[in-house]
Amino acid sequence: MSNPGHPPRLPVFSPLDDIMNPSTGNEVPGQSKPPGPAPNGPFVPGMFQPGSVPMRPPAPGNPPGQWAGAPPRPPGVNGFGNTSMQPPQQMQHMNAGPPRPQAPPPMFNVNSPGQQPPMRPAGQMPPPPQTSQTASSFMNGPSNANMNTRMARPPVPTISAPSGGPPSASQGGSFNNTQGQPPSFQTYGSQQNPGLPHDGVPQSRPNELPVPFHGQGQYSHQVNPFMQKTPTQTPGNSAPPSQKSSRGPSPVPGSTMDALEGQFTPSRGAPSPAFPGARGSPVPGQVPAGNFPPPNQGQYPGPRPPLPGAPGQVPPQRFPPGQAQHFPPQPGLPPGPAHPPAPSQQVQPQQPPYGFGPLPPQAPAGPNAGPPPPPSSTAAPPSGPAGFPPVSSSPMGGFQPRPPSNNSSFAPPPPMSSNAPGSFPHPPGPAAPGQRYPPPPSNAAPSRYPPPPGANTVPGFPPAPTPATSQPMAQPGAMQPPSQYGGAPPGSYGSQPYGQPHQGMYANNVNAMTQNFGQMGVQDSQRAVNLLNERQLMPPDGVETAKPILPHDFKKVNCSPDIFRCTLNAIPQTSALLSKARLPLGILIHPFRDLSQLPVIQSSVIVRCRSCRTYINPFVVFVDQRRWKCNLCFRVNDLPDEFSFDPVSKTYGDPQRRPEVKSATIEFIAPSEYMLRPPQPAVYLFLLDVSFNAVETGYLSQFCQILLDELDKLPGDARTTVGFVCYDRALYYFNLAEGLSQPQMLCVPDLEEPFLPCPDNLLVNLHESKELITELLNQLPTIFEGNLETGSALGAALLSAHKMMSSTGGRVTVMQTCLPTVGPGALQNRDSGNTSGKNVTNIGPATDFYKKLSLDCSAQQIAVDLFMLNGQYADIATLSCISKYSAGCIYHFPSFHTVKNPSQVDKFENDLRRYLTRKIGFESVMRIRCTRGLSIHTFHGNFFVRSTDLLSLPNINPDAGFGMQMSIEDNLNESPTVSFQAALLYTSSKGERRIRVHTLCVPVTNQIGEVFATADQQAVAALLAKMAVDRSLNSAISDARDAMINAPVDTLSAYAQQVPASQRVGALLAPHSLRLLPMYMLAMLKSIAFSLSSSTKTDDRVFAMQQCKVQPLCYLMQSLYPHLYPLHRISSETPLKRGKEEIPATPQLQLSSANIDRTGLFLMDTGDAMYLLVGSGVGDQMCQDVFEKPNFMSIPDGMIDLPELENPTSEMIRCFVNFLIDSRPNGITFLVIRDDSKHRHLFFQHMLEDRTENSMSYYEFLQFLQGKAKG
Amino acid sequence: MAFTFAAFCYILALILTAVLIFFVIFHIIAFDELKTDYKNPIDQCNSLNPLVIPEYAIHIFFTFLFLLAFQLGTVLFNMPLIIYHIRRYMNRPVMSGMGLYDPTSIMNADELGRAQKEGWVKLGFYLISFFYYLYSMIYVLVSS
Repeated sequence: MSNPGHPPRLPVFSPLDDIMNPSTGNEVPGQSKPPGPAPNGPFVPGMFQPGSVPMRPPAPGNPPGQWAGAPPRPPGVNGFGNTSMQPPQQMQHMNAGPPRPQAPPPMFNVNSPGQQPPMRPAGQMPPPPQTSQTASSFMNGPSNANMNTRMARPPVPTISAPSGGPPSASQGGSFNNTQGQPPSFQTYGSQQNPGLPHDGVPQSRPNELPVPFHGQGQYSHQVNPFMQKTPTQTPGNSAPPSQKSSRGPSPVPGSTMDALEGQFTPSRGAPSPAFPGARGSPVPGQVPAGNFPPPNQGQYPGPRPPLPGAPGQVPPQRFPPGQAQHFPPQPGLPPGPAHPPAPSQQVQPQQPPYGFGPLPPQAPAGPNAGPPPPPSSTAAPPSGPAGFPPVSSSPMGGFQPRPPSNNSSFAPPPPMSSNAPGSFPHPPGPAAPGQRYPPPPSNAAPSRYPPPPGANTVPGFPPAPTPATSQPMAQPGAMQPPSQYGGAPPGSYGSQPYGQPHQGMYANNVNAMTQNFGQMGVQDSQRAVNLLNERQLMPPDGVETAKPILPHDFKKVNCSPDIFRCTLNAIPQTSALLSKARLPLGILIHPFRDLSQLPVIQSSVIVRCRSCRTYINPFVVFVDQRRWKCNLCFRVNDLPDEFSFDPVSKTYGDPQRRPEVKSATIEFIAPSEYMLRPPQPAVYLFLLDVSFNAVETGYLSQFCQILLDELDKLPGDARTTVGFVCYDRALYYFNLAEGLSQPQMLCVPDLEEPFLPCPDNLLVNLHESKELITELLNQLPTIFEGNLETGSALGAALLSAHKMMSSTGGRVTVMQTCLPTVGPGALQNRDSGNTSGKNVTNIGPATDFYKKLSLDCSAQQIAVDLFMLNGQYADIATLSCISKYSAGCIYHFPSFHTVKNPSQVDKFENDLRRYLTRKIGFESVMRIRCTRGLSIHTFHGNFFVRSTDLLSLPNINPDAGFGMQMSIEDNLNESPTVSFQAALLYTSSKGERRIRVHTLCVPVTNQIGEVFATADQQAVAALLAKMAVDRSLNSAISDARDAMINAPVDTLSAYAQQVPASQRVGALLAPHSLRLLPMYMLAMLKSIAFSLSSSTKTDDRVFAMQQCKVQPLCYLMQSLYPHLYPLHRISSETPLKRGKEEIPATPQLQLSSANIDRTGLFLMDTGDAMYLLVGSGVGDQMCQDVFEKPNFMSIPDGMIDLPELENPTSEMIRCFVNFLIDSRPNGITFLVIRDDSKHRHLFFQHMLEDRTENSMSYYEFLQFLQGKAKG
Repeated sequence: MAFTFAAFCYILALILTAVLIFFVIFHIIAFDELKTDYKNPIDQCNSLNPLVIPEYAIHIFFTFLFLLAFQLGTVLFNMPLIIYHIRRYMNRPVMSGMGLYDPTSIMNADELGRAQKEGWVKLGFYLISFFYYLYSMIYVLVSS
């Protein structure tokens, strides 16, 4: 409730508006000063005349006419023609109109796509069948495949019935009948039945369809035909494991934005009466099938014919069975609840939902409630599955779930899966796309994680190294006492991997470490290490990952350390103890990491604590069968009936079988109360620098080519919208209205008051205008070829981007190659040459223009991502503000040039491909909750902090990491553990509103020894790096360096006091868990970000600092302390395992030249670059095997690839290198360096333990620390 | 008993100090709201920033009057705060408008804590000033 103060800022669409005057929305075009030519002040006739439309730098090849003349339009009209046409369309759709009250042109953009049909000549309209159709069509669209099945089933009316009690039974019956589909879908009323109508129309994109969420309360468990309850996993959105390229589609289209994640939205109304009965479908309102816009229409604006209101005729409460079947989605929908997915139109319906509020009450309340309908609900989820790629392959098309075969709705019913009746059936296949529950993958193999630590361990400290490690999957389950899980078949749940990327993602390294850790002897972890004596600190297979050791009774799986880590794995009970240990307390989180397996739940009720709004998680305590005690605020809450109801046995079972209670990482499909407006479509706008400098680098053609290749893979649904703006000293817009024969370029030289030359069609539906977009991308490089204009009006371009997208939000991608020098936001070159000496300046912003604009963007749910391709100083310190506060990301390709710098080209291509196709979440917020007594002190990362625990993230991407420093405000003696919960609410690219929840549980201790023994040195170093960046910006780099030196000094001195004096003499002692801390600090001191070297460019330094703030832990650590591998020692004796593959491996070395010999090959992996050093004494055979050269001297300098040779050595090396490359999301530059090369320094600058002219060696540094500690 | 310029200064300062007390109370409440989640930092900064300069100006204005009135003791009493204000303003975050508070950094616990502490200290200072001026005013009126 605290939210009241924060109204989400959704400017544009407020449902209310729509409701208030629906008509206005539609009329927009006509009314609000339509962009008629005349009205627009700015439009100077001269400028836009069609003919004249200046193709500034005239493309040599193109006759001007092409661009300029959008053929049909009357000259005056230019862009506007469209608008005029629109009204009619809208009229048709009536209500459907986008709610925007004002018709400011920009707003339309979004809509326009949907509307477009009208624009075209009638004859031309290629009407995808669905397009024009009403809501029903939407619903259907996706589901077509399923249609049959659904048709068959009787709609399940029962659910809707308020009394509900019976439903379960009935459901069961009905379901079974229905070809195995999950009954639940139907139950929820017509809305849900998506697919009815259009049988015929096969949808082109199966995946998209599944509109799971809307409105249906679904339980994740669905009833299968077999009556098993299957928890399904939905792989769907959750990202498929992303390989380098994330795949994109998240299955479900979704929903809304909201601002406060999870908070109660003030309930505006009581739960809508309409749904009283439906406990099961609590959220009926959510979007009915309607959400899915038919492919074509998809746009926001799209007219949704089926306005809820209209259909409203149907009494909300019950749907006549018949209707339900038919799908008239509209009718079926209760006006209130149904959220039309469609953005604006459905406004009315939406409201009711709001009323719902998260109140649990709705659900089951009925006494009868017996089986909450939800279970039945399985169905809805389809969308989930759809997302998964796999699904598509399945015959069913997008809707796998529905196919009779899966009983559990989505879960592919693995026949074999353990069917213990009581338990939730596992999804059979590990990866089965359809499943929503965390599928216990049948094969344990994938999961590498060690079983939950708690399992074996004694409550006390040292956990027995978990034997299970190697076979995590199987064991955990086995170990658990059956009783805990109730009827669950042993192993079934326990064994689930919680969404970890086992599958060989880039997580591999970490996983490997984890294993090691498990195997490590306990003694080891409590041992004191004398750093001065022990030189070999790095285990050969990488640094181990520290994990919290939970008490025995938490036989639960904690959150993966890849996602969530705490610097201290035993939290000091009091702040005094913390300050005594001199270690920073904080958490590092990578919330949107690509996961290969993630349980997705679509439940009627999301169980949360009533006072602190914490989501139920594995670490809560069940007081009895009906109550649970929140582990964050300790309030005792009632458990909704549905939560413990087991649809299979029709009994109330043990709530601990629920996936929410079995997995620390889980995703919910959010009901309507989590939406403040209809979910936005995916909107992508590209701002391309086309000044002389930019054209000269040649990036434009490469960019266009890559975008062309990936156009179909942009994450999104039928509503996906794209737009392009180019800029040099002027802005060039491109009218891509469907129906034009050529893209139409509109030049606006007026920078002071940027205006949009035409109200819409600058952002167009990707699918409707695909040909124009393709053509534009093909022509862009030639249009601006030879452009001599050197100015760059980035500020004006960003302002207009803000205008174009303010109605919907979305992502702006900026390609910038030089300092912006004209228009608003122009910057001076303040780089005075080298940043030398102790005074490093210019690392802060020069102006707050970009920061303010960024905040404006953030308020409109727009994120700006920056690609800096500059060769010369471009003031990244200032420009980065545009991304920093809008939760964007920044890429830097120094001295990018397609010809002169080929190694950057590969990296650019890889990064851009990954960027374009990776998963994305829109209009998101992340809230971090922690156990009472802890509070968040500072946040690190890219975002805007909206309140003490809430981050506003207009976009979230899988590569963004965050850090939070915590402080202990009260003694933590209420509980033996503390928990942190991060809840990320976002709209998937499919328009589905989702909540991803991660919970980390850490024990509390009052022993300082334990604090040291369990500290996580990597997390500590990463957090210190983030703090050091803040210190540098607020004060000076030299202060930050002092702090970096003081940190290990303080910590080690504090530790030494815990050790008997006899051991202390002449030694520099460190706990085993922190033995690498001094090394990491030294690495930071020598890193680009913090070194005082005079040769570091300001931009490089600022970018490195920025990376410290946003990189997820494992990448950050790798860039600070690169990995070094002796490739000549590669062998398959101790392979890394990735899935079933075994990758030959080599031990990892410390970064000391002592480890380098001249007869070897050494690979340095810094995260974004790999250098292969060829020793001068390398054998000729090796040269021949690896490089296909007879000897060392003939190896060319500057090779950027390894030849593919067929001999064991080459194969092993390439296999290993490729494995390393694939295990990260970003691209890399690869360079072969000969020992006598002039590029040798690229390699040796990373030998961090060596002494250099102005920096200490590691040993010297230790001695220095020792001196400071004494002094 | 005569109504001197000094007496006038004290009377004026008395009134203005009351105004400053209101400012500072507003300040304290605003930060408390931020801390308890009731307000959006952007809105809050927008409402606080315009008040910063007026507060400083008022304070400097009556201190200047005291200087003219040759009330050196009072001037010395106020100097530390003036110096603090000037330093604080010089070190403000980069921003184009007036004011001190940047919505992007204000939610940092250190910043919040500092702003709150500053509010309480200033409240104390102004209250003491208020009674000091009251006493001085009477003293001046009586003594002259």
